[in-house]
Amino acid sequence: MEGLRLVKRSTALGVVLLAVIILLFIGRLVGFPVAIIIVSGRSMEPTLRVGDIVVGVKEPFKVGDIVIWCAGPTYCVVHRVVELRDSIVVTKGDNNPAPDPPVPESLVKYRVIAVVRSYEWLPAVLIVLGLYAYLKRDYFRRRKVVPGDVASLILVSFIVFNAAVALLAPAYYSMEAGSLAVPRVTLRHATLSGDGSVVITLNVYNTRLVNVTQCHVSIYGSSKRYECEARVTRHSSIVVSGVPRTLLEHMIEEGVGPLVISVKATILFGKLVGTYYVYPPWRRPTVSVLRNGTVVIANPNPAPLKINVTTYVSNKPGLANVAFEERVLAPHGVLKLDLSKYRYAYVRVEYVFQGKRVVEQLKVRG
Amino acid sequence: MPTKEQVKALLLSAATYGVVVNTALLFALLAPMYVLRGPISGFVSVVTYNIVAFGRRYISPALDMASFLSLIVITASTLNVVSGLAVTYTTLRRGKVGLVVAETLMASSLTLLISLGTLSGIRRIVSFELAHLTRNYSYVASAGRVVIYSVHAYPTPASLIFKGLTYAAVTIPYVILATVAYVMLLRVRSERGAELSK
Repeated sequence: MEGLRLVKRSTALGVVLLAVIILLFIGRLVGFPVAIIIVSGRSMEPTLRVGDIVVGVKEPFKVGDIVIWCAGPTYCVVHRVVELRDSIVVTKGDNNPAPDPPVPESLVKYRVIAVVRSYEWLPAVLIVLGLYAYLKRDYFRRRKVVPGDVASLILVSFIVFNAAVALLAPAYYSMEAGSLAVPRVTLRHATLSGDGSVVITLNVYNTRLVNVTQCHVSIYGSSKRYECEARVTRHSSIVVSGVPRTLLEHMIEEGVGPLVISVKATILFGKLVGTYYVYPPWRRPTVSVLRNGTVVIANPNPAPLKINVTTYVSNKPGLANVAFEERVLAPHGVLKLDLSKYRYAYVRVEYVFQGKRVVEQLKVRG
Repeated sequence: MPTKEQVKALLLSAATYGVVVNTALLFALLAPMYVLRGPISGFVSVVTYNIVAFGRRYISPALDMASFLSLIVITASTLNVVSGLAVTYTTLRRGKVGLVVAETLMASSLTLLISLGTLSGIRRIVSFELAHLTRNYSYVASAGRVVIYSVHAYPTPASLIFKGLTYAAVTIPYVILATVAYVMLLRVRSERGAELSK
């Protein structure tokens, strides 16, 4: 008799306790002064962990407090207040690298005043349930299935399963999107090579150059554009050939530039539209005299160069034969003048380099 | 006062409707919901996903979470298919209108309403992920303007379960039907009990 009374009393107590807990859980939906929420994310670690229960009360809060703000009936956030001004609240998860977007103060429903750890309440609930089942063991043994039993069992089991899955999900998975290996293309360098072609070398990540669909070359500041040919190499480079010689000649003589290469290329997963500025390292031609009386004029540039060569030769002092010659030095070309058969020989080399007239006069023999 | 035959017919209708709807729902959960085309290709279903992004297999913690959460919806639908089949079997083969199976059907139908919230959560996760995947990847770098082809997400008929109130519109009549059948069966039973006691 005494045992039955104990069971009845504990059942009544259990029902009341359950009703209070349910009321507190749904309290935030109807704006109760006190509400409880189960933490379901890792953003507040280590302060709050998944499965912890937080108790919130409707009361003023300040910076540093943990608050519960809700953007909808099912979407609530338990984060710490980091900024508070003009009815705007900025919160941040202790474990988050950045704060949340600002929210109006009216969305903040509760200030967290207590935390019940999952390792505190879960064993307690299990013990209470076990104790209840133990005390009611005779009742369960004798009880016949009545309407409502099956439905209750199914619904309660499903709700528990639902809660367990919802609670476990954030513990194992995050809400982050996956990382994507977005193709990257950056310029390493664009240079004018010895044969007059332009080599554009690129740093390529998770893609590759497929082909070049369009290529234009011009001099910076000039509206005249020339078509060029371009091909892709295996080493992520674009080799632009067919740069008009006249263009380079103009650049070396007038000192204009840089060379502008506009390219449209197809890459794996997309296309590349690039404009590259090439600053050729123009160098002055060298004029030198060998011991045997040969004059060597060398053009170190990948562009042709016009030169005027005047020679003064004679085998007797006073009288000289003068010869004037207009020549075009090929790219990387060398002009050799053999003046060894004369006793007296002078040479005068004239050319225009980078907008300046250069004259070099050398005594070869005599 | 409904007759036993009327209740039987109502219960069978509810069970059949439940089996059909939930089987379709299970297929919809497994079938691709969105098909991705472009440099990112593949499919996303509620239960799983297979995406290749820029030539590499894409792993998404958010979609993994959605897959895990889909356990709730799958369990609810499976429960309904099983209880619907149980009702059909006991009613047609054994000729009985069992109270326990009718109650199971009614309770199972209610689990669909509970899983409605989960489905809404999954929808939010999938939308977030799709927005992330279909964004514009083009940028300007030292090499010039790198135009990455757009990624398109095409919804399939399976995505209808996420559209508006489709899920609710399909499940709510079923819940009503199953509940009404159960309540009527209870009434028939209680009337018969009263008659017998007289």
